[in-house]
Amino acid sequence: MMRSLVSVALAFAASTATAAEPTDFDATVQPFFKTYCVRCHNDKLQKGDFRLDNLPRDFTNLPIAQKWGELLFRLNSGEMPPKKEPQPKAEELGKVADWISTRLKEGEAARMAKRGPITHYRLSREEYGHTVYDLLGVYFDVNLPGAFNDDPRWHGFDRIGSLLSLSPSHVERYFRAAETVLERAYPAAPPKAQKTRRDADDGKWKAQGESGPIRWLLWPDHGQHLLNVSSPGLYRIRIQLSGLPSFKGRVPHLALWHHGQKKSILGRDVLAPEGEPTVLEIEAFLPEGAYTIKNESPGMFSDGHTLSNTNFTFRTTKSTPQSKPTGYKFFNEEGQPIYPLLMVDWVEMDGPILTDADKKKREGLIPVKDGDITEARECLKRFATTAWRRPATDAEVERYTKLLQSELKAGENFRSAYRAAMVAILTSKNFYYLEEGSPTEARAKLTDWELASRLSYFLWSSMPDEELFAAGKNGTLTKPEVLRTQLTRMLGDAKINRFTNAFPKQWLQLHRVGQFPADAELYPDYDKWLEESMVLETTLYFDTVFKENLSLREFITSDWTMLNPRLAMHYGMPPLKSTQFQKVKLRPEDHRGGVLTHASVLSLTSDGTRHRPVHRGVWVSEAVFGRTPPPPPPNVEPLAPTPSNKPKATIRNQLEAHATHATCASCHAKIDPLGFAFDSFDAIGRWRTHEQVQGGQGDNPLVDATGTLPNGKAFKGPDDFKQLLVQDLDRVGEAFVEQLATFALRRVLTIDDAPYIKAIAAASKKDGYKLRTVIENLVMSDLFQKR
Amino acid sequence: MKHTIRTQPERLALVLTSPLVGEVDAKRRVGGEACRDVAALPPTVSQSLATSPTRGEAKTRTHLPRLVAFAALGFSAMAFFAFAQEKKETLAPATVPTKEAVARAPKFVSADAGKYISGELVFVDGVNRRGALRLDGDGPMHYFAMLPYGMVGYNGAPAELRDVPLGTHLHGYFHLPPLGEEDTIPPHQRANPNNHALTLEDDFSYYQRRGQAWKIVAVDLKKNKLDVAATGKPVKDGINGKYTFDIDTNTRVWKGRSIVGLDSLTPEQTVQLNLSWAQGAVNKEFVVTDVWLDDDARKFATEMQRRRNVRYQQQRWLPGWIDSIEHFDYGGAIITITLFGGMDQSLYDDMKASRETGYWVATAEKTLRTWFHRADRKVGRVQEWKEIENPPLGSSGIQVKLKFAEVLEGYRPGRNVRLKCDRWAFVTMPFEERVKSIEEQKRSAVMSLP
Repeated sequence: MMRSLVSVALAFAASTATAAEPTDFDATVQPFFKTYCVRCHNDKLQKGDFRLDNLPRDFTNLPIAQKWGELLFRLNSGEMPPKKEPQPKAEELGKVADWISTRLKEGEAARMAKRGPITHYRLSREEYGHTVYDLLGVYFDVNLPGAFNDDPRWHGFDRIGSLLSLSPSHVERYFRAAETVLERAYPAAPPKAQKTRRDADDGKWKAQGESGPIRWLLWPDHGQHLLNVSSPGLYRIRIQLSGLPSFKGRVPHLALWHHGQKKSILGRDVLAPEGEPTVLEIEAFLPEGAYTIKNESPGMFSDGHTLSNTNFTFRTTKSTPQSKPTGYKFFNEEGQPIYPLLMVDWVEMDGPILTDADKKKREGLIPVKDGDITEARECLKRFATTAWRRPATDAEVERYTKLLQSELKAGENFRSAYRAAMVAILTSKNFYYLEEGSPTEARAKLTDWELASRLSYFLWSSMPDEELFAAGKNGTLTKPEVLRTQLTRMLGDAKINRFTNAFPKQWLQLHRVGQFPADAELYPDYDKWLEESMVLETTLYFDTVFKENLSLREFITSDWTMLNPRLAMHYGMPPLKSTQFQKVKLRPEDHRGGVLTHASVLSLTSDGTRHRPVHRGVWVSEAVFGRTPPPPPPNVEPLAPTPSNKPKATIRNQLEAHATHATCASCHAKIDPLGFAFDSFDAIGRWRTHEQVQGGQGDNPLVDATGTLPNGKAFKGPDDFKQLLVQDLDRVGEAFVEQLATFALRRVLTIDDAPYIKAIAAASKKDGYKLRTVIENLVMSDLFQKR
Repeated sequence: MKHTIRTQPERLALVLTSPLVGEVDAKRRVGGEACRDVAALPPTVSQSLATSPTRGEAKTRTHLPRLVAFAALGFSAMAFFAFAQEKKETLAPATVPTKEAVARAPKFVSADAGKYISGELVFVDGVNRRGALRLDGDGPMHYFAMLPYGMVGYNGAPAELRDVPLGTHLHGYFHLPPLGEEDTIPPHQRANPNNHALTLEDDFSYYQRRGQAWKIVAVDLKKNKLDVAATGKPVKDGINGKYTFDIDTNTRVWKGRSIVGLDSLTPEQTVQLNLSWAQGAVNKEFVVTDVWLDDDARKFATEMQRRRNVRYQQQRWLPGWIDSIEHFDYGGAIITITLFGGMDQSLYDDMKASRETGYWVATAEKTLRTWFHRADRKVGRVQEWKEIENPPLGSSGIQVKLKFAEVLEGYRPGRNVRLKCDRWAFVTMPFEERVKSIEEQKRSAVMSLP
């Protein structure tokens, strides 16, 4: 486990270390064992069948590591030493527990990073989706229920080869996915072109005695079923509408709601005066099914009770849209919209659209003439070579040709038989595994082909394009100048967005945002779009740092961030004039800057009800310092709600009273300050001065975001804390390189990788830790080209 | 007429305990409202509101304004005593009566501004809570509407207009139309602009509530005359001295739960009675339709009407209006509602006891008609239940703060609503009571004169 190893070996040697440094076994651990343990666990007496005096320290050996794990458990739980025996001091116990914990993680990392002659890295499902799109121009929604299994994550990373195993259910799903992808790429009949338009004022109203112009009024959680997609594909949608903010400035959010999936496929904030509607143009891949144009702004029009009749014809806000007192109320006493409202005039849809670029991807992969086995063989070879990201051998291709022939013999028509062979190529391990190494030769460096794939999946989460493929084929990619040229080209390609989206999500563990849904009672205006906006702020922030080639320092502190109106409102900042995400200058009173104060990061550690300082501390330790603290001891009592007859107390107060166990106290002293620094932010990332406490008596208590790091440096709050981090940017930089390398190499790093990481970080420091420089240094390093 | 002069405390004690005026049931709100009604009338205004003296009244009327006010406060306090206080506060802004003569929701009209009018009920639009009185002395028709928080009393219990038989002689306090509702009563000949009733009561309710009863002076069955003299606490408006009413064999004389003969009427009996038109109505001659001889008879009549009205309100839900609303642009709102007064206490008790489950709230018109209340309503969860001391007439003094997930168009400050608690069964209102369309809503906003 490189995270901790590198941190321990390098970063935490620094004077500002926040976590305990590894304790020397002979100086500290061994004497501890002699004093408290060995008397009962030695060569003559082995109480509980456990002998400690000769327990080997090879933590890469799983059975031995398990024994150490057992020992740690007994110490942590207070079971050992027994109560009647002399008891160690908290500090002693903490050091030993930390030493064992660190060694266990090192062992685990080494086991996970262990590589044989050939290493297989299965594609994550996200990578699978990108790959089939780049291969055949087919959008396959890997997140559809039942499409693929969830990928296991390791500290946020979902592409760690040792975790991405293969089960029969994976194979079955790969098979189904391949059939679907090929059916869409080469359909038996071209998909039916759809060109539809729906008007709110379609004349039917006139027949009912109403006079226009009539519009569809969409209030929160309300929509109109206006579109049906018969064939999945790329569609162009145009909508003319107005978007009126609420009386508090909340901007309406339009969503395209898929009936079958019961979720919105895409969404946009809309701001347009009632008399000046705008035309929204959207191009998106749409699964087949029915769609509702919906106002997805928060608004609880779903209390479970349906009114007898809410239909009414809407024209303008001035013509009293809701005249029945029994209908929903949309306008307040001043005539302003209570909720964000959408007024739709018409909707157009055109598609599915096949772009020339996507069409080109499919050319030359299927025979022109039915029944021509020779051509089929050539086509299959081309297809397999592209799909497998390396030359397919004749022997390999012959197997698929035989499959084609056997299908023909069984009575299938040529196209169907050929497609079976293509499906087989897409369900081959050569497709869904990235292979590195060779069964015949032991080598430490990647081949040009392997390097092309590593680079491509690192930056594009997908297969190499033609040019990279050619560089691999020519055998020139491993040449530094060629590699640098390709790297520069790839960083400038539109597909780099996949990296700037995927990496920050994995590095910062953004998959945890919304894992515990925010309590609707405590946070009534928390909604799905806010949650999405939180994640978008962070990924777009990363994207901006990348595109503007800013320093890693910006991840710690900055005077800007990326906001949309929803987040600006959430942060209590002035309303934005336009609806898209934009770079916004921060004021000191906004208390933001850097990713640590993003609502996404602040909320991902909460339990949906309250913030959790310890979890925040662990997250900071992992994401910023690359160090995972030891796990908590078993049977820890959860914090109880404040009794109604006691004064209200902050979680910090409760924690301080709680961490009385010796081992707890020693660990919490290292973790908690990292979380307390952000106590000025609530469970969903809003700034606060007082902590809202459920139950208890008296006023809500003041927040205390001060603290002292284990190295003695004190901070007065989040801004101060961030300044301490900035002063120690080298540590942060090395930890970042480690995270980046984990993502790129698809494996957990080990102590052996530490010198490389240090060298990459040192090289990047010369350029002020600019993000592109860090990426370039990683790619150009020996580490990147090493198996 | 001779009056025994008593000290104020003595007088108060007499009023509060006298069986002659009917026991004031502290658990029933009926008495409470009436007392507050009187209490709300400062002496000078009360005097000015008095109609022209009735026959034999001019010489004998004695005003004890301060005493009346004092006594009334005592009643009010008693009524509230049984009203367990969750949270007592001074008057909330929304319940302060307006100082203007014209009502402006959501402020209760000042009782000071009401004009006393009495007459015989000759027309009722029960669905829309409107009707017409033929004014005493064979005066012109007085078409009127009940204010949304206007209260009807019949046989000593809360009532709806539809409960009151045509021909019943009534006493009311009438106000100018609320702002924006000037067209509710269409123009007609000799129209009185004070055409919105705050209170409307039969003689039984009116006099009993104010502590006045009748002592039979003489019974002349040959001439079909009943001579009475006011006893107890004299009313300010109405008959408060000696009077001669008509009786005949159709007069119902109630004793206990039975009707007895006219021969049961004897001098010195203290009774309550109800009146109606008589041949000499032009000279303010009234026929007695009912005489309640004893307390059992009066209580029985009251209980009959009380039960009828409780069922009615449980089915149509308890009326109130929206004081204020705080919208959330992410959905829902906090709405503060004041419940109207004048209902049976058991209804408020039901509401209070079922706070945990929240209230169903339907929008109501100014007539208190709802649309399709069992479907077109939303549930509000109770955030706060507040009971206000000395609420203005028309208010129950109960203010609830409800949290809604969804808000209806009719949830606006000043608009009327009806609230249901989970103790009451859902029923569908009869066709003619429901408002079914905007056209019907508009049509019912204006009274249709017969």
